[in-house]
Amino acid sequence: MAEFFDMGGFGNYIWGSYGFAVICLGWLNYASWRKAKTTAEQLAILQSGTPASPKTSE
Amino acid sequence: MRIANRLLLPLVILSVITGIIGLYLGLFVAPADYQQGDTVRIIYIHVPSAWLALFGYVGLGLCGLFYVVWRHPLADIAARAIAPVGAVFALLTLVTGALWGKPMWGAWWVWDARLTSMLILFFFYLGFIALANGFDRAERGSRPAALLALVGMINVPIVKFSVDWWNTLHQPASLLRSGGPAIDSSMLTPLILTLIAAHAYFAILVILRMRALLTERRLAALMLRPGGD
Repeated sequence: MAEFFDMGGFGNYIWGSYGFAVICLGWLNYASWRKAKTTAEQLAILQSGTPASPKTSE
Repeated sequence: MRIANRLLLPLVILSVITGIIGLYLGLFVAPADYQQGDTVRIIYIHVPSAWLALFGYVGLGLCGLFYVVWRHPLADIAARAIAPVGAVFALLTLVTGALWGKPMWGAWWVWDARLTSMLILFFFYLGFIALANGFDRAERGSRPAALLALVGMINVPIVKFSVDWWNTLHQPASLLRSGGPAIDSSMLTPLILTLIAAHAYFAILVILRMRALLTERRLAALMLRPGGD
């Protein structure tokens, strides 16, 4: 197992690459889901507060 | 957008499955390269990132064209959704390339045509984001940002063909080349799988961001209505 993580002595570079990718793509994913969720919630609140507003569908 | 929302779940499944299998094959099964050793495993993240950074920019440029010519608001929304995702993939390409370059070339960075044009692509993404969001009313930034996206399209063929036009340290194309891919199937299979996973992941992020932006616009319109909050 240690040999696998060592990657022939290049472990730092390889796991550094994958680690950076996980952080960047994970953050982007979290931020995108969160923004989609919070805006949808805000819209639902606003629409429930103004019953006269037209029904909208995506 | 309704179709795009319906595509979300299949895209998530596709991305997870191809990503897991591709990374398993790439990290555990594929052999180390005879010259590069295990550092070759960085390609399973570097190449998909580079493709998406480039394809993303083609998408951004096309959206720019649609917006400038036809003023289609959805083109603006799509461009705004693509830009941050493409920028992250471009950054990933540069960073993973540097992490491969240090042990293989002996340098984190060289002013090679491929690397430099990729850096410029990243700056075009940043420029688009800055212009699109640099105004009090977001829509005012749409046209200048779309024009910048269009201008940046000139850089796309430069990135792609830089390795053919100039004598670069970066190796020439191994997949999209005349005569077919120049990679052994043991390395090609995980690469194709991670490419599929990255494309699906890119699409998921863009759909989610488009959805959020559309809802934001709707929210802004509701707030402006008389009697709105």
